[in-house]
Amino acid sequence: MSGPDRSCVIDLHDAVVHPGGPRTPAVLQGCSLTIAPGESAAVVGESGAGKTTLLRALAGLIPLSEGTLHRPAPPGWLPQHPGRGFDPRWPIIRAVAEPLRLAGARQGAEKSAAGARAAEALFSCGLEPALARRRPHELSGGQLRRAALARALVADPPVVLADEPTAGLDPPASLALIDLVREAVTARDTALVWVTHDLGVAAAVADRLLVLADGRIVEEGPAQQVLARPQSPTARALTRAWLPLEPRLARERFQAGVNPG
Amino acid sequence: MSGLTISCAGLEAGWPPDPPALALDRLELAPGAVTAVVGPSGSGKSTLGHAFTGLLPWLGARVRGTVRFGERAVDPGRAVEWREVRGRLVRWIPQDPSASFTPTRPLLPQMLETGRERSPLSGRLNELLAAVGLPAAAELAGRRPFELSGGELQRAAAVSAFGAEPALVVADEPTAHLDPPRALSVARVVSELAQRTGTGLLWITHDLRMAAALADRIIHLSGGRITADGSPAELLDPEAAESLPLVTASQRLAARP
Repeated sequence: MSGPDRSCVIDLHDAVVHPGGPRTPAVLQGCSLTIAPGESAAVVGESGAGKTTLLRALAGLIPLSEGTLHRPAPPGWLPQHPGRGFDPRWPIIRAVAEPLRLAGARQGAEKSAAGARAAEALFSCGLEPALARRRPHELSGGQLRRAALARALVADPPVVLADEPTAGLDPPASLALIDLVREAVTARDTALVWVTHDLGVAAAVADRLLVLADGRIVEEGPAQQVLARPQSPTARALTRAWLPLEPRLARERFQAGVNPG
Repeated sequence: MSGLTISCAGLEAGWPPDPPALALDRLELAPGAVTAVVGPSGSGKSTLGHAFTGLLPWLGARVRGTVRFGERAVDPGRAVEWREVRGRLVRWIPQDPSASFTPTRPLLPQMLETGRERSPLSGRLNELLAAVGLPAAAELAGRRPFELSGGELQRAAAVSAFGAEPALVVADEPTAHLDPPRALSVARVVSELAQRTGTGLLWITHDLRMAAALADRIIHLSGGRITADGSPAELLDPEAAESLPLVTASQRLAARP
């Protein structure tokens, strides 16, 4: 293997990660992936495959025990629960500006400039300026999701990491969030890595699917190709368990697995 | 107890000053029918499930109307009237299976608790355990809930619910947080038990694909009212002039290769 691919916004090579500490089991076991600038990728896998651990490792939240991670700048982070990351005492705009202040502390940037960029990010994510001075509990769930996206994008990261942000949302709300995020990252040419076990969400979000099993990427390719012709046992299990929406086909697939005994 | 028609009339439930979460003139569930209740978040799906299981008084709701199990009328607003009903005539499978069982007591006796002196389940326990792929009673004996996986507990909750031979089992998004293979396996188990015992099933979900696969009838709620009611084919008809937002969103999230 030659050196890291500098043209990528993420280049993870042979990563081993013990999220609970060095004496706990490894969840990532030789995991490798690259993310190109501006691309949208979805990481799919069954529960316990290591999806959240992978995302945390890419964010730099947990160290690698082995392997290498190269990224030109810190990623933005879109959490599963939009309320996470918003201090209940702070106005929304202060929380959205925080990634800039953390970066600016090293660069000596001005506080007022950070406020202006935060306001701009909130506006571009569709949050009315009047709401920027409110506190998190004064916003609806949908408004908080817009604010969380603004916070993920405010520092112009080369890539945003999304940890199942549609989990628990109904289909119309999921679709609205997917459209919002896709529009925002496309406009900025930001790459997106979205973790989910929902193949419908994955296909709507991403051009490329990465299949994670036992702490490794076991299959990757264009979303439609992986869905139509899954190769790995995990991709086959996920697509086999994915019911079609057509009632007759859904019922056939459902009945096919019912224990006859 | 199966074979009863279950209905509600003039049902209204809410938390004033908010507008009513649910307002149904009439809803009738045929004996042993598998019905999916779908709708967007906040449309009243869970409130309907709580109405049929007599849980609304415990949730502080203001309630009007009547629920009927066959000839027996129950006031969904009076907790005391449900003592003889919940556990016998209607059972509940929650989203989180660990909420079904006390963690410190052995699992098996809890599965047999039905509010009657002798559980009808005891005679066919091993048959139903085998049908859902759980170990036989002799092997389960002495094990506590935390010694089983989440999927196993959800199966145990299903066996417990259907084994009590109620007229209706209400399952409120029991697969919502499971990945697709696990969700499908739990749904198949619940559907298999409903068929085997001839028990009615009310399956609450916003997953239209699952609703289409397991239900004979889909009821769509919006703003606490029934806005569509029909077979899966009728509700998901791609030729329908006016599609529901839940249907169009589900179509875009169908992951068609």
